[in-house]
Amino acid sequence: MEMLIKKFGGKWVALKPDTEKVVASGKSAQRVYKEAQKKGVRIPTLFKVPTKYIPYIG
Amino acid sequence: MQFKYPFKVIFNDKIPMLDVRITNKENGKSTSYRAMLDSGSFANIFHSDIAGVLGIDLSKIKETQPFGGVKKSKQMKGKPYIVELMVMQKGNSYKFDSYVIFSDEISNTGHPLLGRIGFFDQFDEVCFNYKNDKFYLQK
Repeated sequence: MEMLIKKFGGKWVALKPDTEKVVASGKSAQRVYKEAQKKGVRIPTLFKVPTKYIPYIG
Repeated sequence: MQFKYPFKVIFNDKIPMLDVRITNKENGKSTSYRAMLDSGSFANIFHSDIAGVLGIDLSKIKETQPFGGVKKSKQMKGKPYIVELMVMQKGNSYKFDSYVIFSDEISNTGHPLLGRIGFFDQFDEVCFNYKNDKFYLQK
């Protein structure tokens, strides 16, 4: 997860489901989703990577 | 049926995150989405960009759902919609209709939330076992 924040903070990433493997990234969730599908991941996991880690209270 | 997940660890903070499959039943469009379990959240709160991926036009939804956090001066809002959620693991799956609030006001440092209405209320038990580094959903 730290790697995702460091490399992709603020972006949408498409992950191979149930893994941390990034198959596409960018500012648009829809574009990232389509790019991942083009790379063969039929239903990718979308994740908006936080810009930085801040402990959450809620 | 039990679904068991490891916590996602960020700087020694164990966060209960999992991938859920979301389907728009109106058109069959699906995506998987990584979100955080939060019993403190009254309902599910997802990024509005996910509605776009699912072909949901939020501008056509008249109802607005306000919600708040711990910050006293900040009230946020989003658009409610019923989607189908599914959890899956090792050949087992469980799906259900779920109330979701799509919002563009989720903080850049925050996570989408799986809350009490539309997620916790769909399971018999939701357990956090910090010593074993796992959390469980029991149906």
